[in-house]
Amino acid sequence: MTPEQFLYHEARLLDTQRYEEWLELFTADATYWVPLEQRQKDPYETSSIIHDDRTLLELRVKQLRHPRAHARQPLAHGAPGGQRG
Amino acid sequence: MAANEQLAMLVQPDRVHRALYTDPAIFELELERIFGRAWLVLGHESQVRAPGDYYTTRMGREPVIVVRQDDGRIGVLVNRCAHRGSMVCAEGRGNAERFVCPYHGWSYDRAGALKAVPFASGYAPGKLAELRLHPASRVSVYRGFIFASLAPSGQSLEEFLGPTRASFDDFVDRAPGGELEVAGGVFKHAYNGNWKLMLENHLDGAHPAWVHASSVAVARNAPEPGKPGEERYSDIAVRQMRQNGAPDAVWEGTGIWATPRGHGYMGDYHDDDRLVAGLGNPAFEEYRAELIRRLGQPEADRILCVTLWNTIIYPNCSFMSQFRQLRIIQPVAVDRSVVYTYSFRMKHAPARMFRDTVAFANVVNGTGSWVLTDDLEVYERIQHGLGAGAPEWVYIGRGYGRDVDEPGARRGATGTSEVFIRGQMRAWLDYMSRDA
Repeated sequence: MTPEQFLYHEARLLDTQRYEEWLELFTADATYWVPLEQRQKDPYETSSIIHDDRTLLELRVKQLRHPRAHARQPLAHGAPGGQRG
Repeated sequence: MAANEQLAMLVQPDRVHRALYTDPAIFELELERIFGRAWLVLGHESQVRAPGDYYTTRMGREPVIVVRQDDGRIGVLVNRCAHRGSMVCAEGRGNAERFVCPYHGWSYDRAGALKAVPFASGYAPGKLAELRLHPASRVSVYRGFIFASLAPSGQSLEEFLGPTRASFDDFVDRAPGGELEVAGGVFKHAYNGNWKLMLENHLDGAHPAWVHASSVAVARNAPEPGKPGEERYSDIAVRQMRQNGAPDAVWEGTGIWATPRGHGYMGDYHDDDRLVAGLGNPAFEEYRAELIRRLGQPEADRILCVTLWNTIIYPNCSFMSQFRQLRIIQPVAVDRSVVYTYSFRMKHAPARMFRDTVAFANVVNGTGSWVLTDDLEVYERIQHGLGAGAPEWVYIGRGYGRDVDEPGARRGATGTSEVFIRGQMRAWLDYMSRDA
């Protein structure tokens, strides 16, 4: 798979809500980071929208599948029509 | 305008009318009579350390500038030019010698005095001397926290706070040397719901098992947090989410109080040593030693034995003294609210403790958190639900009839009592039914 194909693959998994398969793209030492601030230097001294290690990322995926994950109903997907994927 | 007798009919001892959450005319009256009168929490002195340091915020509908004046005092100025009414200062923070209106260049000093006006010869002599940036009527600081009121007279800040002063004391006393500072970024979020919904949720011990069921469930099945010295980054998040799943008996056994001004506070439900005592954790031991060095063992023990969860300062603030989180809510419309969430660093505590604060903020109060987002979803569902015509009443009767009056505050019979919502509604009616 070329890097370009990989990026399309990742986007497709998100667009089609295949979050468990998406999770498998991450290695055990991965970090998923969405900084809170522009040009934020680190995730430890400043808060983040998301700063998940692999353990938390897996919990995040499990949480969104829980029947009482109120804020995930309906479950987001990345693109209009993505569920047709 | 709703007559005072009509307002009184909307607030009954164990129920309130849905109009309190949905009627735009009532919302407008709240801005005038509650947010226009009460002491409001505006922030912390560390946000304006040096002369000229300022940040903008709101007091109800008034945009204001909080600024450190040249004399060292903190000023609160309505952010509106005395000429044509433009905000003189863009929203944000910084340091300024002068606040210069972008429209015609009228400029004001840090105390709000009008210093320069282009084409000043066009005005009658003495006319401009009457003009300035309008200051908030009263400004006061309690242990570093900045308050202001738009009412020229009323209770002193200390009287207003009553027993909740102890919560601010807890917040500050835990910091070695009493030195706290806002740090770590500010979470800002909005929700499509009435401002009261947030204040009614933060002491509600009956909601976590339902609202937070999903995050509690996944945290219970997460890998066990590491022992001291073997801790992982994820541990703080997992531990806190598990605590939200505390057994009913823990919630029922927690103390909960409401004050005559609508404030409320709750004892702590945490029994996780890593979160609240840090037993065996090297960073916490270093912190404890620093407190003991400064204050002696008995005082350090006293401070660390205080157990408080959320404290609510009615009508615009909620904070967690032990976890160094503070939220300020701004009412935007009857069905729209904006919340700013701040973290605080204890300047003379080990750096690792602030990292835990940041991790805690991300998972509990952050905009991408799995905890906060479920609360927000429920606020919005309440707002939708209350938009229906019937039934008309909202029930706040859990524990009603069993409240116990103690000096300075009313205590709920059990930790899940809605005594604090009844207290908020008593204060609401008191503010709303006074003409002046």
